[in-house]
Amino acid sequence: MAETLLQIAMMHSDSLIARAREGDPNAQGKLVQLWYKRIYNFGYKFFFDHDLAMEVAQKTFINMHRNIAALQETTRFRPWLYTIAVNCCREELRKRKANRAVPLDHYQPGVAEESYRWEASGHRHENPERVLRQTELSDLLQQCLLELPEEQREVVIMKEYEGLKFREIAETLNISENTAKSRMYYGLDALKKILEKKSITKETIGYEL
Amino acid sequence: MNYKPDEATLMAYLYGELDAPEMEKVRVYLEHHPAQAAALKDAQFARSALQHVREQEVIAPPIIFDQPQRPSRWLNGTLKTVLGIAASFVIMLVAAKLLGPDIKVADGELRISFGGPVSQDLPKVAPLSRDEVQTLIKQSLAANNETLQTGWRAEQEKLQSLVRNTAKWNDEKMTKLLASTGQASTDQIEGFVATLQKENLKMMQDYLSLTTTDQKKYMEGLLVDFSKYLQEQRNQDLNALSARLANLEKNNNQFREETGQILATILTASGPTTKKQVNY
Repeated sequence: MAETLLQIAMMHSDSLIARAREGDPNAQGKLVQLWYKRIYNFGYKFFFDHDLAMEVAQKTFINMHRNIAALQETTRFRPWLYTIAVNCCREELRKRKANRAVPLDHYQPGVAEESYRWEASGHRHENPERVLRQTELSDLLQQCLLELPEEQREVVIMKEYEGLKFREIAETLNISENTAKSRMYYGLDALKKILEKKSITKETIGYEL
Repeated sequence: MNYKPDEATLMAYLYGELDAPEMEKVRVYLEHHPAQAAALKDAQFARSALQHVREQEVIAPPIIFDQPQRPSRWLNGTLKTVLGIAASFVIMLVAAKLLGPDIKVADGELRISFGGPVSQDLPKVAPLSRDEVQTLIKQSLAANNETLQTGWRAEQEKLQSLVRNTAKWNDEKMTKLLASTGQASTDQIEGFVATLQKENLKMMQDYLSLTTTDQKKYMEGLLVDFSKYLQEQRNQDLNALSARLANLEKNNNQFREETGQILATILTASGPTTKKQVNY
């Protein structure tokens, strides 16, 4: 229910965006509250890394604050914000490629980290074994997503998790709509092959046609 | 049926972003093309797998945006330029009021000055005639020549004086040098002779001491050699004597054998009545 209310609030935040454009800090703060989770999750699925997702979200909203006065139409706020997020992701990716540094928890996820995720998962009252299985599957699928090429990953995340239309994705990435659809097609095709390579079948995920 | 949807159309179909007639066309196409339909099912499977990636719960950190500072009208760039020009004009007016401006436009020349015109009146001189000019030039040349000659004479005297002084100084230096050279040679000769004497004396002493030693060594060597000579001579004499003795003994033995043979021959010739034993 809360999710629905949040989505409704996000969809009907034109007046908020208009006030934010005029420099109202309260309106900007409310926009951050509304959109933070979405941008964080976009960054998390792009990097599969909490710290980088936090970094991307923070930079995205700082850039939003600096540039929102230049936003021409309030209806274009969503693709505009994702454009900033994508640029931040690409910037972080360039930095990571330049540094060649990999956090230690990429090799050995710490117990404390797992514990934190368990506490934060909000599923403490569910069957622990089932939740653990779901978490493992989620991480495995997230790893599959990470193996996609950067361009296809952007499109897949925007389409599957952020619910953008192909027209909005094209606008966000400054590409044609057909290019966005093609990237999606090849992204799903590549993902299917990665799933096969990792032996993730329809039975594994309980898929029913 | 020649219709074949491209990848983009298939994706739009998968996500329901096609209009109804287009959707129907794709659906019919997939019914007749099971391979394409299977590929689309695979894509649908990948999509459904992606739905198992869990959404991360996160709370937005408190982000406080500063109230943006509205640009002051006084800081507006255009206004600043206009105000600057106005201020410059006011300063010019004040300066003009205090100093008194003088602006002239004449013969294509704009002249702005302050503080009134400066008097530039020059004394008027009557023009000179040709002869006067030539006279002035001659006078100037004569004065110039005289000055040059005076200067040349002074320079010449200075040079002569300098040459004389230098020659005198050189003579004195040469005399001193010769005197010092003569004195130095006498002392050197005396020193040289004394050194020679010392060296000769030392050489004689060394020679004598060396010859004495050598003579001694020679005599010792000679005595040793003489004793060796005597010993050698003695050995040779002894050898000669022993050889002669051996020879004599050898001759003696031969003579005895010959005598024995002669006696045996005589005895054989004389008969067996007389038998004489000869013993030596």
